[in-house]
Amino acid sequence: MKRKIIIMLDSDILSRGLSSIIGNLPETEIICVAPPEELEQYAGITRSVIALVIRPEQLARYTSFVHRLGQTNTVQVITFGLPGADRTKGQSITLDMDGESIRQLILKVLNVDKNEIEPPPSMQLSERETEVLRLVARGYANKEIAARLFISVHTVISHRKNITEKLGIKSISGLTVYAILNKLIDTSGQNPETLI
Amino acid sequence: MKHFKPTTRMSDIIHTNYLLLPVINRFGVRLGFGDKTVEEVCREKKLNAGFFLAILNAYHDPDYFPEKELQGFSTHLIIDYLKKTHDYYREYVIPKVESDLENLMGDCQGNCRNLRLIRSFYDKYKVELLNHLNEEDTRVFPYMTDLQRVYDKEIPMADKVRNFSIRNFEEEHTDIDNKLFDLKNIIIKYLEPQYVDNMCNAFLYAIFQLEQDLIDHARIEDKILVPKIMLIEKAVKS
Repeated sequence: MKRKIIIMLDSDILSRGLSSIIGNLPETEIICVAPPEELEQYAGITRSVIALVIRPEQLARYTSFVHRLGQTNTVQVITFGLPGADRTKGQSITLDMDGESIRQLILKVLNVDKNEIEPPPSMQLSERETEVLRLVARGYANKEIAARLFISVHTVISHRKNITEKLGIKSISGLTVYAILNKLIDTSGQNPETLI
Repeated sequence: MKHFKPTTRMSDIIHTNYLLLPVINRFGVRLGFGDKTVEEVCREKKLNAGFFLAILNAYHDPDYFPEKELQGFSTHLIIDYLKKTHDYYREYVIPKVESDLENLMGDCQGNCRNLRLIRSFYDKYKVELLNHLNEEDTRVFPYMTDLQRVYDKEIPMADKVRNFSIRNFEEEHTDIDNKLFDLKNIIIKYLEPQYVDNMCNAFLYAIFQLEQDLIDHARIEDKILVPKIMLIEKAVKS
């Protein structure tokens, strides 16, 4: 997942100041949008964690945009205001905050989806997952795999999801190639290419 | 990221991003533009400069996607562009990927069995991709063109337009994208390197480029053309 910070403040001083305070964060892009009308150009962003910095009074105007962006991304709204402004509602940056607190806030907000950003702890397939993979590679459907391993279809699906996440291979024929390359299935006596 | 404007020189665009070369070619724009700007070249070639720029910028910056603006362009203009990219895949990209794969296989060192698996996987992917392009060219695009013409009152409503819906064609992109991703990942992560490195690199470059191109292409179809057609369907058929 990519990380993006969209700063939508109608002031060059504020936008540039804020982006220089945030500075360089690993794998994070800062986008300054001014005037706010340009925001529409970023409707195509997908699969990202987005921190949107916006003035609270403009929030209502962009609710539908934020909602749309939220369908393909994780969007976190951070409001920007004067000191003493109502901080009770969600996250906010105010003019009196020091740089370090702002950075910490942004870091916290962007890491919300920690599980999605960090790869799963073990990339090694478990024994059960390997068994499931063998059967997938040999062309069995979820139902048949469930029956053979005496587990529920739901469990098969969850194993398959983990296999795909661990290996980074999504298609069935891709998994078959992986299984043959790693000699997880016996291909003696047949042309392995016909299995793909 | 800086976006291109009507007053940007064509030569500066290519210096900034040479991957845009095939994109400008699709519009019939060829090199040798001297100091001409985008608007000058478009005027000469009778191109819609707004559309030309929107496509270039969308391709150049993956985050730039002026949905509303793009949906404002005519269905015919968008389809014409998409068809040209289909031709480009069929006539150039796929043969290029294949010849890179042939070179890779031809120089295989030791056990070539694994590379043959890769080829089988690629062959399967290719058949799917070609079927998909073909389906769009022969069924989806003609339907869209007819629908637009019905909407513009150029032709009367006919059954083949009435009984068809764009909803039948959605969702197809994902599986094809997944396979291409898998192909890359299998080579990068799991294939024992019994090949000449430069040959494999060339093949991977070609795959990466095809992938990037297809993502951009699918984005224009899924986010611009399909929503636009849905609106017209609603207007014409309800």
